[in-house]
Amino acid sequence: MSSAISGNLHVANDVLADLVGNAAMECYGVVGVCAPNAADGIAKILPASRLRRGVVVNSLDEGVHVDLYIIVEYGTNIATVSRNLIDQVSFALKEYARVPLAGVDVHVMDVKVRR
Amino acid sequence: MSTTYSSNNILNAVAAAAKSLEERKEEVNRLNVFPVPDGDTGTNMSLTIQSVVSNAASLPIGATGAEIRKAITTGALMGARGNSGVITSQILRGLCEGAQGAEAFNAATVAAAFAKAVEVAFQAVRKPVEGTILTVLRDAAAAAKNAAEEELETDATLDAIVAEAYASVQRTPDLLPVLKEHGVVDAGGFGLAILFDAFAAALLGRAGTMVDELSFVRGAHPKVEIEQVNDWEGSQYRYCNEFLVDSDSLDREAALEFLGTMGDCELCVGDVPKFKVHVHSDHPDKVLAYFLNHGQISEVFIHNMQMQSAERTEKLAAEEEAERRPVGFVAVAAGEGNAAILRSLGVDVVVSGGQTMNPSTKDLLDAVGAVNAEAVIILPNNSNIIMAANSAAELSDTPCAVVPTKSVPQAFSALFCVDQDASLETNVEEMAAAAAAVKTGEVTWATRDSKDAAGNPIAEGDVIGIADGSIEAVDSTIEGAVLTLLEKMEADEADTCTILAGEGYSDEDLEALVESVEEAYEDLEVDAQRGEQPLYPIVFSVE
Repeated sequence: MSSAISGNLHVANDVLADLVGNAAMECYGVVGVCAPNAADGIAKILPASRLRRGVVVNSLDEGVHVDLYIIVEYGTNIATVSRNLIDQVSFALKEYARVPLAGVDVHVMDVKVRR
Repeated sequence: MSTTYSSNNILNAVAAAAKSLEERKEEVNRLNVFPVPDGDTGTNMSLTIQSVVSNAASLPIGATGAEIRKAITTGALMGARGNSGVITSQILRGLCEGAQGAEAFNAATVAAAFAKAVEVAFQAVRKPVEGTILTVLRDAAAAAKNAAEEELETDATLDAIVAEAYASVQRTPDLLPVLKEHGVVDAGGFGLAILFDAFAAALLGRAGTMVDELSFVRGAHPKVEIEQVNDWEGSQYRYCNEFLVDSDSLDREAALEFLGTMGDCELCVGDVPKFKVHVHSDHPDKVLAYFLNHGQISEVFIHNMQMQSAERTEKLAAEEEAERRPVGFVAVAAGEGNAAILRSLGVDVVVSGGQTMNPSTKDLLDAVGAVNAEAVIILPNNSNIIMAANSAAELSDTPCAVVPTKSVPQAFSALFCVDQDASLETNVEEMAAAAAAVKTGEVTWATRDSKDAAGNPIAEGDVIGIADGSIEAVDSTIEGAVLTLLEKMEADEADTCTILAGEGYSDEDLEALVESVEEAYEDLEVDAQRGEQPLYPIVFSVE
């Protein structure tokens, strides 16, 4: 009686990264995503077409683990913004990709000061 | 002309605004469209503004304007809760910054403060969504600007702002489809309008706020729906339970805790009075009993996951056995990475080989024989192997053809246009056309002194770049050779660049290379993969 066709859905990690990047863009207080290798102290905001560069998605046994590298607006509560971001990212992954989530780590790489 | 308000007046008005929002926070909460990440907008905004009030309350009597602004900003920053809370804190920061140095409280200064608030609030987000609290703020600021231009009195200005804020809230469903779908207005925007409204009312000494006369929030109920979650694979519990609960007394946290003891994948979303529950459990009876104690349940779906999962596994196994594909593929490639990519694109057998190690006709023939398909296509991926591939195709018992690919990236593009329902001939034609559209660049080291295509000398050990078989670049670095090749290959006309990193080429170098290519060609979509081919640190294609 079920009309479902059996099969599997595979969502590539890059797609998940895009999803996460876009969710981050809509999160208030996050002004940008940057590449994780900004160890030299220069965090460059990635253009919208390359958001996945700032998101590292790892597939673990218990689900996907996401590392997200962001730049936050000066004057916002970083802890709260990060908390919101984690909520938003988990929501996007669960809602759109239905993947089990092992964890989200937010790395605040820089604070953007107005002017 | 302008009225003077003491700092106490302002603080009292802020406190009144906080109190008003606190009273109405449930109304705001109910506007949330479920499920959303920021599910309790009213509560979050209310807690944020309360933190402002308590922080400002600790000021000494007769504090200066600057001290008050500082207290408001800090209070909002520290107390910000949830997305809407952070936005509120930025709005307050902007208002305070914009009011800096303003001696009087009149239309002009209010407009300036609002302008600053818009600037500050919008700066903290890359992709502002229209039809939210930010839209309401911008509209209110526009009203303030208008009022200033018309030189309205302070009270008329505030009234204009509040009226515009509510009007803007009512327009939010037109801007944000999800709101319209659920028949609600934006919760954050409404919360902000309430704050402005109560603030203005208290400051002007008016009793009652405008919101009492508005009815668009009444009767708004959160919408919760059953959308079945078919996450059945691998759950150790037997039943997947999903249902709606109508309850005035359900505590979401407690319910989640209870669900956790019943099984896994527990979910309880919504707010008083409607919730959606989902849980995998061996005891649907106990789950239902718990929620029946708290209210009514409806739309109950219970699936036996283990039965359905077993059925599916059997069916899958049966299908796999019988399948003999119409077209199979044999490809030649060097490097584990390249082989893995080719397999993921549908190649059945990858024969190891390349520039220095050409597989024999027999190797290819054996590979063709190992493919479980009606017909086989060989992708030689090197000009030196095309001959051997052709002989293998002639000798093969199964129908067999060769798509004369000269590089691995060409094979990638060719494999993308395979149609399992089309004939062998059609596929070969399509694939050859796709492969021909791909320009390949290869970078390696010169093994002896020579000359490039233009006759320039090459010394042993130089990095050389080969574009479709001819040496077009000589450089001291790999990156330099790649960039020269890209220019020769007219990369600015292309839209995709696939880079395959060879054996021994480090991830850091690859990342740096990708970055410089992206910098040089803004419109080029660069896809870097590890091919692990020997001898050639970089093989790439543009198309």
